[in-house]
Amino acid sequence: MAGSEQPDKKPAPPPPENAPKKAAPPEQQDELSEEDQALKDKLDMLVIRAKDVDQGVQKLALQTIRTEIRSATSSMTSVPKPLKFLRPHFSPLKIYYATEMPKGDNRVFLADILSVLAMTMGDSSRCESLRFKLQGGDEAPHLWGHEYVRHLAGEIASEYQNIVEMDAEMRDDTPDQPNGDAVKLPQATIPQIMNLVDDVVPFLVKSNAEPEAVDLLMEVDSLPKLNDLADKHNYSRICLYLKACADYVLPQEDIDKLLKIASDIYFQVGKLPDAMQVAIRRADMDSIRSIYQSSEPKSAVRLQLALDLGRAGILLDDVEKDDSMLPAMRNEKLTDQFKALAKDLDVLEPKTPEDIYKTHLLDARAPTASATDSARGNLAKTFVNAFVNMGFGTDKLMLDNESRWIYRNREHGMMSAAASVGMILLWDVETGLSDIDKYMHAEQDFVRAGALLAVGLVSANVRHEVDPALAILQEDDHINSTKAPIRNGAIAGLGLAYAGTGNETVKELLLPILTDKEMSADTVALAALSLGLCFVGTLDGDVAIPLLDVLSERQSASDVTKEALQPILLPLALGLLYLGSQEAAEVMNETIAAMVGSNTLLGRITSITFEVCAYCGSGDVRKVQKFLSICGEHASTEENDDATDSNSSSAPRTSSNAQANSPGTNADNGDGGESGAQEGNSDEKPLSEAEKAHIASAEQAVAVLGLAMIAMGEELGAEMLIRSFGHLLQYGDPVIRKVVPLAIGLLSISDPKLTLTDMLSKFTHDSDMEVAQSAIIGLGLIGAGTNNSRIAGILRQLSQYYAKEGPSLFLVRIAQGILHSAKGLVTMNPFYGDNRFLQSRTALGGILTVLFSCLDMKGTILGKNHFLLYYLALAARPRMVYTVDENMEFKAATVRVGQAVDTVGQAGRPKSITGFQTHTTPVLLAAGERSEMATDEFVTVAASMEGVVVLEKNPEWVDESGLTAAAAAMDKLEAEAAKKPPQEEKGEAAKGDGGPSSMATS
Amino acid sequence: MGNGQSGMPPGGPPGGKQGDKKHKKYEPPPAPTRIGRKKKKRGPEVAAKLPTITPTAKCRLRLLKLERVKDYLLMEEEFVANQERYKPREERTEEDRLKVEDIRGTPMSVGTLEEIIDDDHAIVSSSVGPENYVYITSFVDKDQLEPGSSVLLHQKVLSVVGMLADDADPMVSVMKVDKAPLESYADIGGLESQIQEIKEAVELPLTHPELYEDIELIQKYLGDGPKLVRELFRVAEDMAPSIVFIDEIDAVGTKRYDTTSGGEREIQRTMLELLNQLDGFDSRGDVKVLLATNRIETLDPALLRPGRIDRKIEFPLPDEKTKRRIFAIHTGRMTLAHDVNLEEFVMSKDELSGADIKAICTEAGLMALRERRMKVMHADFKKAKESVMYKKNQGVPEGLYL
Repeated sequence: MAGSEQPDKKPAPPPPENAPKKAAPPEQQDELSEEDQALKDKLDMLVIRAKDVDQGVQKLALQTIRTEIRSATSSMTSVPKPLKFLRPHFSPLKIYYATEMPKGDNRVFLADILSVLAMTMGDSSRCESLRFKLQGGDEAPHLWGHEYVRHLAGEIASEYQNIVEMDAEMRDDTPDQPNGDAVKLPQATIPQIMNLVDDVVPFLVKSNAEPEAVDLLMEVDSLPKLNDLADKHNYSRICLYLKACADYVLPQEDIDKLLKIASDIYFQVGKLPDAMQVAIRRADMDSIRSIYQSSEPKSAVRLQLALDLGRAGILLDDVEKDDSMLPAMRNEKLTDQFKALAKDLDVLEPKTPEDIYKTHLLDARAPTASATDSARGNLAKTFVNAFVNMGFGTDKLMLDNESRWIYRNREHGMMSAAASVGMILLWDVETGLSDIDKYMHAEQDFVRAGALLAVGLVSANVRHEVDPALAILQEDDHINSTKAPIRNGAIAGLGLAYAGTGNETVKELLLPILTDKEMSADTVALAALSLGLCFVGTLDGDVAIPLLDVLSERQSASDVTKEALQPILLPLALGLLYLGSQEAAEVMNETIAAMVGSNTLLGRITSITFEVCAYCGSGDVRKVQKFLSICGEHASTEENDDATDSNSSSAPRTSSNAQANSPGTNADNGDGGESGAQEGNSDEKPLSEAEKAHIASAEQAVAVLGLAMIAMGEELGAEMLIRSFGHLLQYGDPVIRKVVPLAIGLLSISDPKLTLTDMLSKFTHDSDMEVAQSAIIGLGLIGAGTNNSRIAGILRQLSQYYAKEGPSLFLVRIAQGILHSAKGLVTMNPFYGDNRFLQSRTALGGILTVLFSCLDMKGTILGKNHFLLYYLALAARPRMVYTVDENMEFKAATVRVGQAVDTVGQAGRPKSITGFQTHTTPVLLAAGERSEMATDEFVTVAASMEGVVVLEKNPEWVDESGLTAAAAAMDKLEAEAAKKPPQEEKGEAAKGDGGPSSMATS
Repeated sequence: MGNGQSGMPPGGPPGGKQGDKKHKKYEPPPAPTRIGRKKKKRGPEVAAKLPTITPTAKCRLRLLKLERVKDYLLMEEEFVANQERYKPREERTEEDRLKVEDIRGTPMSVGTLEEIIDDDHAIVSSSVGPENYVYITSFVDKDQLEPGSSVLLHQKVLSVVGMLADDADPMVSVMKVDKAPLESYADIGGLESQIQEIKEAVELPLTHPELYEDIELIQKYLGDGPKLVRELFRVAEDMAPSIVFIDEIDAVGTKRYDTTSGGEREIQRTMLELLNQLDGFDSRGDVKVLLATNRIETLDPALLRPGRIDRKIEFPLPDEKTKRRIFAIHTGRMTLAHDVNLEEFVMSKDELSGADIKAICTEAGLMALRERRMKVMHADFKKAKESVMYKKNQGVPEGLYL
């Protein structure tokens, strides 16, 4: 640069010589129009004057240059003219500034101008713009225009990074060029930077560039400044951006910092439900309590908070004593609301399995499943009936006294049949228990066991003041029964009823069973699972330590495959206990290796299950990488060098990852632990090849599920993982092909994307029967509760295709049942709140139980333990928008339902849904849909319009009709010809006081 | 991905074997396969597409999201690389390929697919013989088959064993500008405000999308036949970011009126399709549409409605300054005699368009060449201008309309 500008400095035009030719050469000058030339000459002159010895002249020149730069009204398309023409003078001015210029006002002035010039021509690695700015005056940077502020912000970020990095070293400006013309500028100091940040950020916030403001504050690590800048006009954009960033920032503490700020801002502007949502995500009980307590008693907001807490399974009965709020927090009304929804949609009529099978639609010529009763066929019908009529309280098989359906099942079938009553009466504790009662005293043990399971099911996700489920289940001849089925039923029932509650009594009841060495492996496994579910994600040491003991005691016996549940459920139970705990679980991971060992099936499975559970929903790419490399191993021919090879090759990748995301610290921890475990393994007694292969494949199965579990927390990862699955299917061993369909089922549960449906449908005809079977279940899962007709069609055809194959046909039936769960009114997605913001650990626990069971279908679903399928009930939630008033009474409102649009980081008030339709509540929400109020008559206090939403009358809204009588008449009219009046009213309201009312709706 | 059976190592789980045996007894109809190119947008190809990243504005969130995608891609790369080292793909596919070639047989013949009967059967015609009802082998990608396409046929039994890729729309592919033109804005004389507008309407949204978050740009286009219009926009979308440029839009965009002529109706249908495409176009799609006409008054008002066309940029006849620059550009490569006074033409009252000036310059150059002179004289320009103006005004005998 220094060399090039010397010749340019003399603009003395040589054209006269070339003039006679009038040919090519003049073009260069011709580029400049007359005005441009004049401007250029003027600036050239000004620059010379700016070096004048006379202070007055100098000042005037500098002022004129400033005016020129500031008044340049160029667009984004090009560099403003004055800057362009000043380009050649930048370096000389810099030298002048550094050497000759006397100290004083003018020098400061020039520094300002140089700072602006440095924006287009400075050396950005040395942050010249910033450094000159700091030498310059105190003028607010935005006087020089938005582009300058943006540039400055960028340099602030990189300078801050520099300072932090060389904190320990001397503040030496090493990167200066050696060629001497460069001007040495002192590096900025942190306080200086912070001062500037305080100038810049408010400007950015004011000019609708909230994301940029947040970015800058994130870079300089001073997000708390946002608290003062957020107000009721910009808080939503700021918080939305913070929340969206939380999915992608890496160290866990940073995520928490972001969310804390978002929560504080929401709280500050009085958006308590939003603040609560963030607090729930952070699992910060103190915030949750304080937010709840700060709400006005008996207000609509408080009710909404109670409902949100109920959804999250948090009961604050120590804080809330009001009887009008507690039912909301206990989800007591869930069953009524669900039935109201069903009534509104006119689907109350019970459905029979035949209604789902729709055999009349099948090709009549092809052979169909034999019409005669088979045990498996009846069992399938039991399950389909249970899933389809889930939560409705009526059906045509079980509750119909005439049919005596239960006696058409045998043994374990009877247990599942009796338990299906619990599914049908899901969420309805009051009537449920009395209906179940008749099975409680049946002669057959299995029926009584099923009844106990049913007791657990009806209480799932719903709490009751007097805990009737606990009272029934803890009776001595239930939980401590000498008969294994009854005991198992009671244990499983406890797990279902108290999932996610952390109930201490349950702990006391189950721990003795867990540690009892006399108990059969299945019983212990169930007890462990129930404890895991009950204390899901709590990291409760009282449960973890006994679980570890049991694992280490039972590991030697576990290779016996007779007891199918143990090798699956014991590790899973420990995993559930630490579900989503991420780094907090790292210590435990080592304990597992030490206590359970790393050379047995149980030990290895525990280790990996624990890890996938701990990082469930985290979206952590380092873990994804680790599990992908596990999946890439090939057990049959695996040699030691192969393993080390893959490990070493992954090392540089990991570091690049860490670098890409953040200065991640423990990037290598996982890998190190893993290789350590392997080495330890080889020291101890050698395993036979077959055993090794068996362990490796079991490990891979968990790893594949683990990939889905980790990635499902965040949308991009979920989408990208589907791509990776393509590679897994292509290169992976049979066991991977078997698990991938299940993993897809988890990744996209209740969200039947077309591509995935097609993909799974292809695998349902795979020549490997196990692949086909898991694809069938996968199809059911991605369609769970949607009634998706495409999947229904595929499954119907499959029922014909597999007509002669009992196990596969059974699974097809199950998938049909899951697809039509609750007649299509529920979702099983464990994530809720806009855009996967919150996750329900209880729901995840339920789904994971079923999926892990599916890893060994023969031992579980296709064997005697099919009742495990009922754990899906933990994940089921009505996918509705149900509007209530502040007294929890239903209040119909018109809402718009449409495809959700990602509005993060957009200025203004962008549309949040697209392709919407207007409905009257209650309405159903499909995957990826969002709703918003259609009229201004009511405003919602909820953070996101899903589930139960509390409405308030909009104080700004003006009812045209005025008179009550007229209003009543209007209501009638509205009911009949719903459209016209609301539109008029809306128009009026918008015209009359558009500003405030639209603000209120937001 | 072929169903992957051949990739299965032998001796899979026992369940699989049992299943195989049972399958042989009866083969019920498999789930129907869709045939034809319509499906192209779905299936694995789309699954392989990268997710769209929002927000589009440059910010840290976008960076983080892009990094996340990159991480996944790196992991995929690593995984695949490891697997390839373990067992090269070629090795695994070689066997399959040999098998397929074996089934195909050699030599093959080429035929045309006339009609698709069901999943496995079609009617084909070969250049020589009559039409045949034949079998479609399972390894043929049915997504690509559509009536009219060229297919490879087995020599003896004429079953469809492959298909010849002809990238379908030659009509559209002609329209693609394969090489970026070398002209730059510097080659345009004057018109600065118009250049500015074009930059704002076409370039900026592609380079600085964040500035245009809420602005819907307009798009439109010309062509013949509604199908072609659809195809064109589809191709444009596939190749996005892209610019669709339709010159002489008045050819289809004229005002609609009652007509009984079939040709007119076709034109109107085309325009309707065009309107459709313009409306349906996603504002966030990186496809920009430019339309050009010099008869804007004849265009259908529907085309000009805001929302379809956001900006109308008028290119007026050049003013004097511009004319001077245009002359300078076109005479830049010519050797001019000393007597040439371009100012005379610049200042003349005739309506000179840029094209006229170019024609004058070329014509003058040619005249000089005709007389084997090395320099272009002023007289050449004069004559050239006369002839150009004559052609311009008298291209149509004036009396015709009098």
